[in-house]
Amino acid sequence: MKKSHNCKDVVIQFNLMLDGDLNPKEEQDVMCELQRCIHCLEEYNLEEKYRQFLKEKITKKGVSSAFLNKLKNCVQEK
Amino acid sequence: MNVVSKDNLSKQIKDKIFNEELIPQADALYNFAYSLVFEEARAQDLVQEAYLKAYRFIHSFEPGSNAKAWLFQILKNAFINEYRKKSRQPQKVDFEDYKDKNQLEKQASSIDIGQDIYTHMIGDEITGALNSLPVDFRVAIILSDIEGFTYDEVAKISDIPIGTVRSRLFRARNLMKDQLREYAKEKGFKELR
Ligand SMILES: [Zn+2]
Repeated sequence: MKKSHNCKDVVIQFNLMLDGDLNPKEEQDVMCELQRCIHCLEEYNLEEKYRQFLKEKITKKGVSSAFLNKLKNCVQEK
Repeated sequence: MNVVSKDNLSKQIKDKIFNEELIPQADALYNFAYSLVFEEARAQDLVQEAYLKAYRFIHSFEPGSNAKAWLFQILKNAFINEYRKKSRQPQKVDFEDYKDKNQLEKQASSIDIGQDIYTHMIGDEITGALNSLPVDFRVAIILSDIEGFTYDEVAKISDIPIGTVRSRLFRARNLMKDQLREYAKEKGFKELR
């Protein structure tokens, strides 16, 4: 018998899944639950979008080649 | 004995590991440092300190293993030491409240940020929202959601149990989304829900 669907549990589970913290069987269970509930599926799609957005839009700075050279040189002096 | 001890790696081997495995992480490491101190010069000092320490302890690094996680851990420790030296405590958050499942459920139920607001936001606003979080939450999001470390790696870098990583991330993400919602409101975007 299928256990009853609990949206709050599913939200917790799909977050763990997106974090890579579930095994394949658990992931499969989550995917099944997402097919059972439009609310959970929407939340899941939103969460995926949010994470993608965070990765893409966060401002990243790079180090200059001068600083890289400084790093390489400072260990040579030791 | 003919075997060269790992402690006595030749300079050539040390330099090879340093240049091929550690140096390529400089950008990520600098971003992490900057998000901790928000000052270019201090961030560079932290990165330099981390690399010096990494070079000194390079014999304890397994070539081909996770250089990024190793360097992040060294940098995080350097950051904490810097705070201790200045006898200031890093901004601490009490996580005791977020341990049990009921709390996780409560947090989970508040995840409902409107989709529309994302597309209109620019990098500076996202970065501003992230930077407004307490340092422990900020670090959790950077390590997990931006740098893609696993729970296990985040636990090692942050020196906290995996259970705490989970609860901290839940809390941090909700705070982050609250901040984004605030930005959206300020700009007059309509929330979907
Ligand atoms: Zn549901």
